[in-house]
Amino acid sequence: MPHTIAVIAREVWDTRDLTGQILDEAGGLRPGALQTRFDPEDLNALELALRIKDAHGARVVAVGLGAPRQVEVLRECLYRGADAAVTATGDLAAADTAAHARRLAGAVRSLGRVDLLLVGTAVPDDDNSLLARHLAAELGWPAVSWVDAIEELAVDRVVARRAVEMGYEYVETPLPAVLAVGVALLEDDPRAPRPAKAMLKLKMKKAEIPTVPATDEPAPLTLRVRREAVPPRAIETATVDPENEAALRAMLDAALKGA
Amino acid sequence: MANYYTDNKDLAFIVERVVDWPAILALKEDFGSPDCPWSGPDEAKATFVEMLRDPVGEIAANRIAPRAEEVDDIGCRFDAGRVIFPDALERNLKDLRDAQLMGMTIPRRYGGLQFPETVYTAAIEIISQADASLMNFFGLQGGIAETIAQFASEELKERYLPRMSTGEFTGAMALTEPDAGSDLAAVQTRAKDASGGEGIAARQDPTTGQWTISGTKRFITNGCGDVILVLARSEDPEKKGGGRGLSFFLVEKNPRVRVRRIEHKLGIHGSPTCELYFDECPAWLIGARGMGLARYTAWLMLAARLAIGAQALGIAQAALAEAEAYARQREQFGRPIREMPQVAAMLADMRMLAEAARAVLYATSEIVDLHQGAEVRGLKEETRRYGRLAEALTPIAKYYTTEAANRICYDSLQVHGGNGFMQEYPIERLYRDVRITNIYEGTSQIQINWAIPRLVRGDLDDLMGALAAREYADADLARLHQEVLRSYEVYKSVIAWLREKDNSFREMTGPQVIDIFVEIYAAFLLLRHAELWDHKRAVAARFIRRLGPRVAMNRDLVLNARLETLEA
Amino acid sequence: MPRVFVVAELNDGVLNDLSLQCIGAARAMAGADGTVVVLLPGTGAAAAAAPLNAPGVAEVLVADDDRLAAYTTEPYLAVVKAALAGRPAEAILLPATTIGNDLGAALAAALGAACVTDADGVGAEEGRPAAWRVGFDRKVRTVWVAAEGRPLVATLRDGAAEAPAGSGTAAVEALSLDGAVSQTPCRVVRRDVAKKTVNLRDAKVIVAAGAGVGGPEGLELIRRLATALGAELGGTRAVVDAGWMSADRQIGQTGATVRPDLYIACGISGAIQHRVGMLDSRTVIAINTDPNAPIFRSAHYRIVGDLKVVIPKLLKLLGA
Repeated sequence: MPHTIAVIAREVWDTRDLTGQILDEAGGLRPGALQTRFDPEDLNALELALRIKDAHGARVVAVGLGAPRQVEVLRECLYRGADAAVTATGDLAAADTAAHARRLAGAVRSLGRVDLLLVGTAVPDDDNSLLARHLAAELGWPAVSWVDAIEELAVDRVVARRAVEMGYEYVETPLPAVLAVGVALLEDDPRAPRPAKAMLKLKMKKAEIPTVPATDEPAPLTLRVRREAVPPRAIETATVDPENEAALRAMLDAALKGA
Repeated sequence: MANYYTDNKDLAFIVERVVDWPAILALKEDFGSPDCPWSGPDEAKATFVEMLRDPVGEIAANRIAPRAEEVDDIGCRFDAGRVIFPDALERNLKDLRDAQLMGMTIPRRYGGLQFPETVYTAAIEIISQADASLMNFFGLQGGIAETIAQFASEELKERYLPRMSTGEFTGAMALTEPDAGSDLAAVQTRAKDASGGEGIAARQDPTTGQWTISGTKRFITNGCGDVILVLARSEDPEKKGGGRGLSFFLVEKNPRVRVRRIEHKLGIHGSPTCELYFDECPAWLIGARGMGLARYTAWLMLAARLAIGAQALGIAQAALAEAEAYARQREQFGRPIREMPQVAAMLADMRMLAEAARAVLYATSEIVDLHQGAEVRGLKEETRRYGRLAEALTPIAKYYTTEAANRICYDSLQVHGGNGFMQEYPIERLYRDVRITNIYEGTSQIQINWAIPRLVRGDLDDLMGALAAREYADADLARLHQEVLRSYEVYKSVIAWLREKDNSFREMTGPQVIDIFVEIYAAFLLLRHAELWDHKRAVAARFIRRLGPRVAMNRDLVLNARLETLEA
Repeated sequence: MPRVFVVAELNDGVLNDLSLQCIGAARAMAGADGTVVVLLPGTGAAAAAAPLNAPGVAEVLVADDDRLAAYTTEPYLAVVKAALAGRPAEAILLPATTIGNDLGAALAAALGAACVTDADGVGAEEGRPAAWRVGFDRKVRTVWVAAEGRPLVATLRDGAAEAPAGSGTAAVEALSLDGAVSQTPCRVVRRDVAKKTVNLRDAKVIVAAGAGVGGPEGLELIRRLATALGAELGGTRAVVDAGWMSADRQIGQTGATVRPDLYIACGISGAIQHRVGMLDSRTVIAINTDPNAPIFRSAHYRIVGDLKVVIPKLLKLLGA
């Protein structure tokens, strides 16, 4: 029987190229100051799941949390080839990774047998901890972090390639397991996760995404959050024309002073 | 991450705010029918926009564009009778197939998306911005498949369209022959057994009814493709000569059609240009005998001209981005060169020209959509009306966009100075790639010859009259509109004068006349756009400020032209 | 803050020096009346633990066991829990490495503790342990404060605190492990990990290569530039993965964090995973063909161009 792979799909703040004030006076995020996007490492996790599906056959289910803000990450999963999607409810305001993990784990359990749970390793700006670890604790499953390839996949175990500081380790773990997917998943070319499939997008644009009601007690809050603005660290960027020898020389002189 | 749809603000503006989707969809969709995936035009439009963003804009910026240099460097090779694609091109094709984009305009019942031509035009522009040569797979597929969908037998449709939708099959159009380039009516008459193989001829077996084709076709883009539409002589030249003796055939790749060689070209290295040799090759007739040139090729050409126009515009968009980036970082005399008035003016003209060309192309694309919709519905009066507009506008749009794109690439390279001449900078490739666009699918000169008699006949008078009759509440726009109207009067007087002239004179002065027409048309469109988007006010103002002098100059050139001086 | 616990890290028998920064942070957090306890788990821990005996450290525990040779979560977690059993702590600090972040989050989940990974600093707020991280494109400092009755687990980024100088008076004791090292469901079947031979963190000038160098030929140019400048050579994960450079030269999230006086980024697009490792360089020169490459946002000098053209010009100017 092919594996069932659940993938966590988070909608996170898009914190690239932020301009202007993000916080209001009370330290809250100013509505409208930020856009959201599909968490890029979760997108890598989805890509890994879909590659397993391409190679071995698998059922891929995307699991999200809460109502979409701007990006319909779960439908985007369906457009790329996920077989189903569900969303967990609740605890969003709590902004504690542990609380999110409890709701997501409940949704994963509701799917029946799941062999692999994939999620991006990165901790988004607004999260405090590694979601994968908290999911593993909630589910009582083993977990491997910083996975960027699957070496071997059998009915009841997986060998994952884990990126560490000075190279790679190949870790075998029984299934079901949580794999936290890192950044270096992608091969040289294509360099980006797959885009949507047009026919699927046409078919799935109105797909109902079932909501999994919360059955567990919410996790008790372990922390509270306060935000404060950081004064901008202005980098004066000077553009240097590579054809201009005098400019290059001036740059080297200035940069090497004191180095 | 870059996205070639959302990053191209002008294209997004045209698609999201200018194109009249309800009008197109009223003809092309049956809202409420089980086959229609949308409840209404707004929902359909939202899907088009979403689809142009992802997968089209996404795949173009993040997968195809990074491979363009490799595709160009390695190019297609010919080895032992086989055309070999560079790896990067194979990956591009796989990405397009995986994204399910190869059947963008094919009817849904044959596995396609059945999107309007205008969505396809935008997609072609986006893909061409990433890699112009890939457009010849992606952008010609539509016209070929649509021709099959519109005119071929149900059996042929069921056999080929689903596999074209998935991208398993790619297509080619085999029209040109060694001695029949622009003049397709000269497609060879002599049968293979009589002529030794030059030209091409179709014969029908009197007992089985099976057609066979023999002869040579040349300069066939993607001639190594799986589904080849062939224009061939099927009638006895004694009885039906010229174009009336030509029919349209479908050939599936098989051992009796061989690629004899591929061309070594200035540009679009990722698109194989093949010489094909048909050796009594089995073929299937499309539509009616003798209608190959007048009806099917003409129909195919409407879509193909749009596609090439979009390809040119995509290349121009890439060249424009390169020029803007270069002028921002390149410093001379202690400041970025874009601050120098001449460079700033070149950049402003390039942007303006790109936006004017885009306005004309998408307005034309909309008309082609209306024409197709009317034809598919069997609405005779609308088909005739839109058909007349489309047949006059598509050659003009193709001429204008491809010439503008050449101009933009020329100027972009100029902005790069000596560096632009070097292979390290992408403009070197863009400059080579753009050069074919005003040549293939009809040279600019042929487009002009197509359009001139239609302008003289007044085929576009109603369209222009309606634009001229518009009223602008905004005082600035109203003033600009008055300026355009003055040029429009000049245009009408030139056309009236031309009615007294013979054909040779009209063709000789055609370039000036078409320029007068198309610049006025673009000015009308830019004014409409300025009502919707403030950015366009400056563009329209700059364009219209130059319109009067240019129209006056072109008028004077026409009035002073003498056929006798051609011998000088 | 009375009790702060540090889980130090051992990589192939070598003490990870971020562990010492954690001790520095722990001492500041504990204050005069608090205690700092340090645990070093791993095979060969006993031999490597001496530097952990820093001033102000009350107790250094080592868990030296063959079953702790390669890191997997469960046995390490069991050891830390065993050590904490008799020594409850209000705050537990670990280095923000791949091991530290994994172990820290697992520990927090097991203890029901508050967890902050990749913290830029730790301290106290209204008497509760707190940790903060600068995020949102360096525009916002988010401070997380542990709820009443819950300890804080924080993993500290390089530079979050100073490593203490001198040595202390604590004895190094072996932690009694009887049965604490549990069976692990995971097993490291193969390792492909290099020995560290260069320390980029001490380099004054670094020339770093990204995927844009294209191959060994481009890399040779970078090497020549490094030699001409007396600089160390560094690279992105992509370059290391391609086999063009050894892993100890990697800069970024799973590599070194560097702060040289001059950082020259060649053909590096500047994904955030790389930029976190070099953002604090004093002067950054970036060379890239893509005018929109994110690396330029962290650069003092921005050169849009092909490095095969630009670097020879620089070499000429340097007289090399």
